[in-house]
Amino acid sequence: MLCFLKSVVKMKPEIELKNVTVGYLTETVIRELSLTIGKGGLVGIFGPNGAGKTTLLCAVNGLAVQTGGSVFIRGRELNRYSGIKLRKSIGFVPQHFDIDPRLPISAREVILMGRYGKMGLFRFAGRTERKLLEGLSEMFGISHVIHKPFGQLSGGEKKRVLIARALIKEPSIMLLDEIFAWLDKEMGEKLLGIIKRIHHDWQLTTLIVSHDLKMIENVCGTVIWIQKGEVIFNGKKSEFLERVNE
Amino acid sequence: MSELMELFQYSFLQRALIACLLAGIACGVVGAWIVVMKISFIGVAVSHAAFAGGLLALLIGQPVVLISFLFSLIACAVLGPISDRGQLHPETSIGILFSSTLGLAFLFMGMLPEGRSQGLNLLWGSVLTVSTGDVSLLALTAAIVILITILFYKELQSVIFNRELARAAGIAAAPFFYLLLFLTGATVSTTLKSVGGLLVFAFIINPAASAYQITFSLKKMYGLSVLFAVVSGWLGILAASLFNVPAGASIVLVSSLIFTLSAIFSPKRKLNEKQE
Repeated sequence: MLCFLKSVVKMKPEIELKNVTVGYLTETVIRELSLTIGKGGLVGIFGPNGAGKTTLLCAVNGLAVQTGGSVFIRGRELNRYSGIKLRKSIGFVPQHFDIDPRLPISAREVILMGRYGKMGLFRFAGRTERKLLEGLSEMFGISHVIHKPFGQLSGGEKKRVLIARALIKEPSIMLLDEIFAWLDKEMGEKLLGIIKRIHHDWQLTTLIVSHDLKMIENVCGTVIWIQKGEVIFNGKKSEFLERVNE
Repeated sequence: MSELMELFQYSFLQRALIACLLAGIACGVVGAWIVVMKISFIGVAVSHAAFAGGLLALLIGQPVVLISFLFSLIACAVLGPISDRGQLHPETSIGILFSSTLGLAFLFMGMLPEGRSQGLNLLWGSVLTVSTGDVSLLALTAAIVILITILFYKELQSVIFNRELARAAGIAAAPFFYLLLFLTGATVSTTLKSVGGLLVFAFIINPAASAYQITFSLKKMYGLSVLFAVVSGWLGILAASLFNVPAGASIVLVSSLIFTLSAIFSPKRKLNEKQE
């Protein structure tokens, strides 16, 4: 009996979307979208600009205005109340992040903020947080800038700080939105290596949004292809590449 | 100098200086939130709503602080969701609320039975006539603002940095945003009598905007904002006592002078120029 229950628990997908519709004001961006993503997957979300890729990521962590359907994280429905708890295990790196360069907040503080939700109320950053901060700063090569104001960092440095911020809470799901955009080739490749390593070592379920076919080819095992808010392909990378080449 | 020392003997002046210290603490901290979040429009609307509420209180014979606090809460309850959901451009919503509250304020002022002097007192403020009860209320507001800032420092920092990212990090961003608005309303209402309905918002914004020009650290910004607010208050009172001019106006003019100096000597000036 116990074995059966264990197998049922194991079978639960990490992320499940059932007939999800998301819209902003009068526009519907994704329409009755359903898909499941298993634990530990490295999934590329591919599609042209305006296809609904970013909206899909926002639906997965409950930041989008969902007008229909349900999102389940490890079998638990994501809603207004469960969202706060579930988001503590979901790392999110946004595509655009414009910020005033005069803002009185350092890169170090921005990274630590990523863990504040998980730490809970009335707790302050201690040894664990400092250790994680040091490790991530070293891993992303940003140790020399963490005391600088966040707004004054270069685009690439900001991106690395935001990825470190998403990882400091030790998430089980990672949502990355066009993280290779604005980066030079060398930095892009370096970041790609780190993402692959973290995905492997931490057994993270990772969703990467990109419109760059080469990046999808290099990184992802599975691809979800979206057009006009609808999934037109969901399967292995090899099959995806065949379909694209047709 | 001896004239100045003589002035300090008066209990009304001592009370006024203490009131400015306490109002400076509350306004300095609240101002830092508003300036960093760039939601000045909410603060303007809240302070005008509080002013209208204060005038209604005079009209119906109820406590000014209570009714102005209720009005400022209503303003927060209307503007908060609009700002949160981005349904309307902030300038549109502030325009509507600002004109409505100002219209109400002038309506209530016109209806005041004992002429308009009471209403004008509330408009310009009268820090030199604050009572011990007013000072106690300011002390309570300052204590609550400080306590909440310390207890929820990391949550508030996350929310003022970016509400969307705070939500993504698993923080209940909306309740904390409303807590900020609630405390802004409370601070505006309790400071209304001292600084005046027309100037209270400048007392909140100017010191914080001056601190923003100078530091890249949020903790230092809190400290400098409070310091500038208190110094503006004290110098404003002294100027008012010595030259027999309205205290509220003097306070705000001193805070504007501090802002001008901060902007001139700001280490962020190059960044400001780059942005323009």
